[in-house]
Amino acid sequence: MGVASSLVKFCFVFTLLDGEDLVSCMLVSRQWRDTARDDYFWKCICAKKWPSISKRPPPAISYHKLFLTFSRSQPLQPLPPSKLSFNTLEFFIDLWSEQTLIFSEAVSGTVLRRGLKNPPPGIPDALKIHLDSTDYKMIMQVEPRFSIPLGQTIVVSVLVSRKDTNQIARIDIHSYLESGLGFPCYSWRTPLTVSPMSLALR
Amino acid sequence: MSEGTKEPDGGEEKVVLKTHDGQEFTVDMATANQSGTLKNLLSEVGSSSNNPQVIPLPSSITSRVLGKVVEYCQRHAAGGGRRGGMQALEQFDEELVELDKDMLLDVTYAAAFLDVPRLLDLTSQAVADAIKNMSVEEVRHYFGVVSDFTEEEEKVIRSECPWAFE
Repeated sequence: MGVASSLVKFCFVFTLLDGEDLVSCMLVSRQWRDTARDDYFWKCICAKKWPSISKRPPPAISYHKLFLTFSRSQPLQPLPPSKLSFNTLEFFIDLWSEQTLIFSEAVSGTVLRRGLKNPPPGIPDALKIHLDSTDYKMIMQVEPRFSIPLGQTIVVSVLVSRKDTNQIARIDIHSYLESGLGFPCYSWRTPLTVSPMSLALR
Repeated sequence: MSEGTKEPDGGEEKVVLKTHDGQEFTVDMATANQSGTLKNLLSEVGSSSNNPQVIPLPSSITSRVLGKVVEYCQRHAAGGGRRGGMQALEQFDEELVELDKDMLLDVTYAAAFLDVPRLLDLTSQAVADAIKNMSVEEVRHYFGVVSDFTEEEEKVIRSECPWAFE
C-alpha cells in the first residue's frame, strides 16, 4: 500500500511521543531527522515535561536544545562566585502527585520571600523549626491552596532562567525530597522552598 | 462490532464514497459530516437521496480501510445517546484501534486525509504507544523505512544525546 513509508502523513504521531522516542525517530532516515528537528515537536515534549515553561515566551535556546540539556541530571560542576539576585531569576515549577499535575507556575524571583511571617496553625513542630531557621531558604505562598496527603509520590521539577542572560539551569531536588520536611501533610498554602546554593547556572 | 445504522430511506440526504478499488459506501450526511474534508466538500456541492453525490477517494484508502473509518463515523454520528451511552462509545473506540500494523497506519492516514480529528487522535496514540521504547532498528522496521544515513550523520545525532542510547 505504500502508505507506511511516507512519513509526512504521520507527523501528528510525533506530537505524542516522549523525547527519547523522538530521538530514536530522528535516527530512522534523513527525511525523518529533518522532520523531527522541527522545534514544534520539541515544544510539545517540553510542555509535557515542564508544563510551566509554556507560560512564558519561548526560551532563547530552542526547545530541542532545552530538552537535550535538561532532561537528565547534569554532573555536578564547581559553582562560580555568586553574583545573582532573585530579581533577575524566574523559576518554572511543576509538581506532580501520583502522576497528576497539581501545580504548574512560572514564578518570578521577586515573588519569593524569606521566611513565613504568619505560619498557619496546626503545622508540625518540625516544620515550624524548618521554616523559622535562617538557612538559605525562600518561600512563596500558593493560590489556590492544595494539600498532598502523606505517602503519595511527589515529583518536582524546577528550571530556573536568568532574565539578564537568558541562561537556563535545572535544579535537582532529590535530597530535598528525601528530607521528608518539604512537603508536609497539611492543607494550607504549601511553602515551596528553594535553596540558591544549589543553583549552578550554565 | 458495528450495529450499523440502517435507517429507513425516507428521502434523507445521502452521499456515496467510492474507493479506488471500485467499492461504494453509501452513508447519510450525519456520518459524512464527521469528516471535515467531506463536510467542506458537501457544503459546496450538496447531495440528495435521489441523486447522491459520488466522491472518489485516493488509492491509498482501500475499501477495507474506508470500512473502518465509516464504522467509526456512523457510530459517532449516533453519539453517546445510543444504547450503552458514552461508556459503550469509549469501549467501541478502544476496540476499533486494535488493528494490525499496516491497517493501523492506513487508517491513521485516512483519518488525517478525511480530517476526522478524534479518530486521528485515537490511531495516532495507538501508533505512538506501539513505537514507544522501540530501538531505532525497530522503528525503521515498523514503518518500512530503509536508512539513508552515512555513518558520520548518525554519529552526530547520537552524540547530541548519548544517554538516549545507554
